[in-house]
Amino acid sequence: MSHDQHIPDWELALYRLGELQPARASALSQRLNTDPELAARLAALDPREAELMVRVPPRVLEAAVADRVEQPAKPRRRLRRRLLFLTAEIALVALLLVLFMPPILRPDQIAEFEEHNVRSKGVDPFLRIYRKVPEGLEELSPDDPVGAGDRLQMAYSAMGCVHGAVLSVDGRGAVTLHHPTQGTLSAELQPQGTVDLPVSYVLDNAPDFERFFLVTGPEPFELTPVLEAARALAAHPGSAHQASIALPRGLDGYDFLLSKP
Amino acid sequence: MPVDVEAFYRKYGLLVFSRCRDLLGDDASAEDAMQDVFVQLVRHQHRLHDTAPSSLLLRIATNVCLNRIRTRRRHPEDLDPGLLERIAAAPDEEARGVASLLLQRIFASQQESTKVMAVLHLRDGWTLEEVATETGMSVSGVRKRLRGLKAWVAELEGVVP
Repeated sequence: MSHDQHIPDWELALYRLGELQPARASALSQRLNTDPELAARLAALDPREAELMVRVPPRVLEAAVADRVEQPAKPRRRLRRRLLFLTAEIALVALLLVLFMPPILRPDQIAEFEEHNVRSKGVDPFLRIYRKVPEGLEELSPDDPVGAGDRLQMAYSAMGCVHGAVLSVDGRGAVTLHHPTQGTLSAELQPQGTVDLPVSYVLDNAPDFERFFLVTGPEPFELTPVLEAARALAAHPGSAHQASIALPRGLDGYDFLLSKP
Repeated sequence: MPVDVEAFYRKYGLLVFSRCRDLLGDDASAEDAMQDVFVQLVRHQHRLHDTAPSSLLLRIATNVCLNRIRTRRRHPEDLDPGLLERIAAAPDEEARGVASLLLQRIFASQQESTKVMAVLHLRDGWTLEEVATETGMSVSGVRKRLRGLKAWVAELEGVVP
């Protein structure tokens, strides 16, 4: 491997897996020590992988593959089409849940349901959101109106929780991961005090609302299923501002809604 | 060796996608090809036994992409084929059977896709030794197999590593 030879991303991915041939891996290791650009490309694979898992969720790919393997004679169902069907299926299930869940739940079930879903600010972990104004920072309250171009600074109070993530969904159905900004696992939270996120966030012109979530867990958790849950929620802009997010078992979510009139 | 597609994808998805992206040039094509790769993986799982998954997935991905490039070449706008297009269009027996025949070669012990070797060596710049290690063949075996594509690549030898 010459120093000038271009190293493609797939070879970096192979190296990252620890499955590149020893001779090439050794040469690549040496080159990484002297080539910061290459080292940066290697480091960028973590967020790229997380993006791929969001763009093509594992369960969706698995279902699409199963379709084609089990029914080889069937015309090919393309992955994007499968994603479309999944969205429609989720919409139908969500509609049925909205229509039929409340009368069915007993009080103890409601408590359990709430326990595994979104809770609001109180003794639980919570988010604080500030808007940058000429005088400094203005703390926002839930439901406060915000607009495109507003720069927001988020902070969390983990209330003893040590693993978490911060993300948001907007009225256009977009999901944004705010913390951590890279990697596939949750961030380590500072359990006490109020902690500013390292980056601020400028609102775009997505309509109606911006809903932020602080998700916490008792141990490090994978971000992909959390982002999948957020995408499922965001797929229904008409209810995403108030519907529960179906987080994986063991995780808790705390939301903060801002309106965009 | 049963294939847990979700687990394989979580672990190797980026590798497969990156390889497909590298060969096909755009995200959408790469995502479609990636799905083909995992379909082929499942269909041939009974032949996986001792093969390293990453190595196997890399070869399947290369083959899937070559097939797509070959199909793409049928379009009249492709008047100036590059190295990949020439390898993909090589008129040996591998060009006849599309995926099934090519994959049979991958999975059937000693038979390795000559085209995959050609891409690794001529396009990716891997040495014959590295291609041999990757494909589980001898260096002389790789050299011999690549000779079969000689007519197609001879004119390119001056510009490839």
